[in-house]
Amino acid sequence: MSATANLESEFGADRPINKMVARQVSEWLMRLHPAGQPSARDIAACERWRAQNIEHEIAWQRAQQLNEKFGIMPAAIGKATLNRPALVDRRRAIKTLAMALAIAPAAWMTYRHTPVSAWSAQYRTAVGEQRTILLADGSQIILNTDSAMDVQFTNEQRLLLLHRGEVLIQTGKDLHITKRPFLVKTEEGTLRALGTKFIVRKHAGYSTLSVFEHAVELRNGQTPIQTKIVSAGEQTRFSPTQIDIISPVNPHAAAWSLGMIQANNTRLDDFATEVARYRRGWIRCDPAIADMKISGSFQVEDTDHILQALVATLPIKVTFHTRYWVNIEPA
Amino acid sequence: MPTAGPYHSIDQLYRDHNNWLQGWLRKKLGCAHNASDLAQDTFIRIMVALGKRCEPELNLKEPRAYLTTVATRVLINHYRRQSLEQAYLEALTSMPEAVAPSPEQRLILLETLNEIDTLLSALPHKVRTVFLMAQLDGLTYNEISKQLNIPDRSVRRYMSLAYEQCLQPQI
Repeated sequence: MSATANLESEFGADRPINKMVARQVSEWLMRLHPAGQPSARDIAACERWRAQNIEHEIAWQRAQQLNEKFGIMPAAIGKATLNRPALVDRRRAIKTLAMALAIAPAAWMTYRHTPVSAWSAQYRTAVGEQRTILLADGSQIILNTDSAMDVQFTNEQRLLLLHRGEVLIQTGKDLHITKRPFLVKTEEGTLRALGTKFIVRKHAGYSTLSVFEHAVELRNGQTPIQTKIVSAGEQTRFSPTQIDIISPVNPHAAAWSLGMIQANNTRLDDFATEVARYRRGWIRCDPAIADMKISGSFQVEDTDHILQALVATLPIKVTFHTRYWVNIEPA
Repeated sequence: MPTAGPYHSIDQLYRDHNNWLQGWLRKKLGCAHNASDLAQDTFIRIMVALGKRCEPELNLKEPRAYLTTVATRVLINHYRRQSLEQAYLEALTSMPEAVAPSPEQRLILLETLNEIDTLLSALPHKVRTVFLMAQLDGLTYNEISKQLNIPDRSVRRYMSLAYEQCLQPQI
């Protein structure tokens, strides 16, 4: 997915795909259908085709993204909704639609629900992906699963905009003539690094900050504006209007940057939520077993394996309704 | 009084015609609350369109004709989404409790459905059926051709039509 992010930003997310290429994508997907047991030769041929032309690759990536969207959907719901019988005036509507097409681009509905910034961001990670980025000033950034971030360095400041997800920052020593502050902004507030290592995570409506070295100055975004210094070994959460009480940092808060999920007498439902961050689709935990406890270290790169490990240690069973829809239930 | 055209800025367009547009939408919808939401959506859509074409300026000689054309599209989407939501709720109620998604998951699923539904809305019903059999049931083109009793090459043609539609840029 990071490949797509780069491609799309280099060649424009609005690049249209021509009919011929769309047909080729559809033919390749059929040739590589798992039921047909595609040969290594077929797979290699498809890779050559993708490498031939940038438009091929963009079309291929978009098809993969579309397939993932379908993947999270239970077939019964998908068919009952997407293939619903036409409304009486649906036909008429489509006619008008064709006329209106020339005027404005599609998918405004999506625009309403996702901030534009999250798609057009410079750095993005897919679900389950982590990425290390070295910035121009030597700062090292690790972007966790399903995150989006922009970096804006000017003569006055080093600014990082976190639109979604989670990021670990280890600031470098700025060799720029003027000492530029290192700032991180989320929708809820601004952080100013005071020479440091820390994690910022964006949730819906609030963000969290965990500091591991030195300190960070935190300022929420709306009145009443407060400023607090969060020091090494401390964490807090903040909304646009409030900064919570500072508490001791969770010692495992940075485990993900080493590719691990660390559980320490963690409730099963909380653990399932954490695992779900690294996995496309859903994991549902039956309320009857939600308060079972789990401990241990788990590799985020293999969530199937984590689920198997759960079955081996707790009296539960895991059922797969689709590739992406997982239920954890009492055994 | 509305300024005489041509219109060069969206601010001016908004100031002069927002009330009129809301009235127009209210008549179509019979509901004032939705009308003001959809008027907002119409202006947002115009802004996005302008941003995309990298034209900071409008040059509109007939602002109301333009607004109604865009608002019509917004209305169609509104009805499309309503019918989707209704079908979705029906599908959910017929699911067994144990596998029913949580409220949060329901919302995510609805947004994903809406994205796909927008993409598929311009496709003929037959094409959509074939595409959904491939995507949701994971059937091969050959299996679809047998199940629907249509020639293999029709399945291929429908699939490539569907991809042609779905691979277009979405922002």
